[in-house]
Amino acid sequence: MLAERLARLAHACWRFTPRIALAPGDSLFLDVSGSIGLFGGERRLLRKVLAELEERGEAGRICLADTPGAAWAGTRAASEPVTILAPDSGLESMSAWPVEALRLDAEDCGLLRELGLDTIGALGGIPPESLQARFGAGTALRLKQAAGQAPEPLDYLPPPRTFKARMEFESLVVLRQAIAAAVAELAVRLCDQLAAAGMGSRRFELRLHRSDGKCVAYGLRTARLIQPAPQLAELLDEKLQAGAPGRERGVGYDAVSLVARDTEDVMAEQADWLSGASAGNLKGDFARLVDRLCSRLGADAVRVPTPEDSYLPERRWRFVSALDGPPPEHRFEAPHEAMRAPLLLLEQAEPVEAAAAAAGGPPAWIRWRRKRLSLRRAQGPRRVLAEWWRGEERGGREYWLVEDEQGRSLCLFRRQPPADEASRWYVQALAA
Amino acid sequence: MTTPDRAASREERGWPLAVLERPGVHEFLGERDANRAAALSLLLCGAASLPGAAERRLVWVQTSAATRRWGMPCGEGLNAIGLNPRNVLFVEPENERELLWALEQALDCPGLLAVVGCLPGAERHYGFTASRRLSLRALRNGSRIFLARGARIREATSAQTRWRVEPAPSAPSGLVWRGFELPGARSWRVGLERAPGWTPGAWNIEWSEHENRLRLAASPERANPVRAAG
Repeated sequence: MLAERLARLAHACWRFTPRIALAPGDSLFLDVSGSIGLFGGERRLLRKVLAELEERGEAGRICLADTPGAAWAGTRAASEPVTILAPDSGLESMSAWPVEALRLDAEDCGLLRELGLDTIGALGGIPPESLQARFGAGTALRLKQAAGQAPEPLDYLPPPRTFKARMEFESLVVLRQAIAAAVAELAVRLCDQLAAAGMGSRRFELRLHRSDGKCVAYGLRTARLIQPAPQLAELLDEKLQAGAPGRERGVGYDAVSLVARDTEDVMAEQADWLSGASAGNLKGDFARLVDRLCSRLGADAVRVPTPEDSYLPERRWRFVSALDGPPPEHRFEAPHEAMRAPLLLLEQAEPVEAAAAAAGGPPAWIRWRRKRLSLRRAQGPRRVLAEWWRGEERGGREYWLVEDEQGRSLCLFRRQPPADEASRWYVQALAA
Repeated sequence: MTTPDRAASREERGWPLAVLERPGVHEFLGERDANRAAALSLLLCGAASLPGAAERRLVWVQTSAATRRWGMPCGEGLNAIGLNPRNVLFVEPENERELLWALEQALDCPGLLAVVGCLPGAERHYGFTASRRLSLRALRNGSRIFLARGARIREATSAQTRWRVEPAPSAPSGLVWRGFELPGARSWRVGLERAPGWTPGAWNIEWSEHENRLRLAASPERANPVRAAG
């Protein structure tokens, strides 16, 4: 029962890495050394893994470390459910953890405890030779493995089954309509295969095999895990139209294949934010819209705002692809900030020419985009500390909400402390 | 044509933008940067005044050129007017043709609060045919689309309503700080140029932060609406 659940979770984690192994206790080892970059950094990756588990109704703890042993220990002993051990830190970061975290049998642990060796740190202080002599090879090996001084080969699970449909043409095909018909047929076959196995996929690859041996591939990402064949065919057709294949003279196609990548179990009907819509009958329609937009405009052109840990207005929200799952619920600070937030934010603050400002106040006019704005109203300053840990500007910023004589409102800032009275002003937001 | 009945209900509702609740294409004209920003902020506040604004999704479509020019939605600001940023889908096509396509797709999706489109400064493809396609879809599906566009109109469009928007100085607050008076509520000067069943006119409108809705600004013009310019 437990094994089954673990196997299912392992399968769900397949999109994070193909190197997954079962671990003692109810754990899994994921070798993510190759995929951290793909998921936007370590912490983000770990959170995604946990979110994946949560979606399947499982709670978990997760630790990223240099060695499987250290990672296993982290999930047992670290105080936080999500832990990242500094690279190359060896036993140091684990020294306060109990010896049980080393994957030892209860008997060995009991012995160590009796001798007052409660923590990994205490154990690490013993010379390796005497450690092996006194407590056995098993204990010594686990300690070395956790520290990265002994190899630990993992038994990776076999890759999941591939889902693929292919069609060979008897004679060369040149017309787009014929290709579209073939794609529609492949979509039906692939969807049947997936349905029979109880699987779904969010990533497809369509390959057109040209008569000259070359192959044209089209990748498709979808928001939904399961889609009816006609809709899959429609999305693929959009892709083909955008890519406009086969207009080269004398080039035809002799085969078409369609592969489902990153297949996932559809056991638990997806707690997909796209289908778990807020307004009643929205369900599949919004997901379908996202799919259509993504397939024609590209996944990067269809985004949702996600809150970030930053006090700089332009960093407070990051736009991530709508296919990357639900934006976290954001707790807004109570509107104690007297200054109202703007509606339109410029990605790049624009430097402006400005009148010399009276001590501590905003300028009387600015010249922005070749227009002179006489400022009549102003509110501020709101001071924001510099994010020095990002290694950028020092000091902070001072924001002002200003309104000109015609009622145009803008959000201005200048760096703090101002180098001189004529220090630069920037426009950060419109419709403030 | 205006019946006394309608005039009364308009007075009751307190603001002429009630017409935005109807399905169809609503155009907000704003020339130049500041007016375009005013048009966008007005249409967002208009969307925030609609029933169900806090729960329903909003699809916002603009070209990447428009993003560089007028910026992108700001989560804090949306939240402050009662729109949940989580419900915003931000779509950025490369060009105007793709933008119109994306708007049409969005109009087919039921249950949205509104589709927001920001046309490029120089419109090449939006005209009678494109607006007809949009408005047919909107009316068929009962959805509404708010379009921000430049004020120079190339050809007639089949929009249901058309507003000309300019920023307006906010009402005097009387509070002075470091030589500057504090800004009041967001304010606009809007001219209604087209809305079947409504009399064209011009109003000063402001955003009420307490009520979270648009209302007529407390100014002499409320009692005496004047004709829209242009």
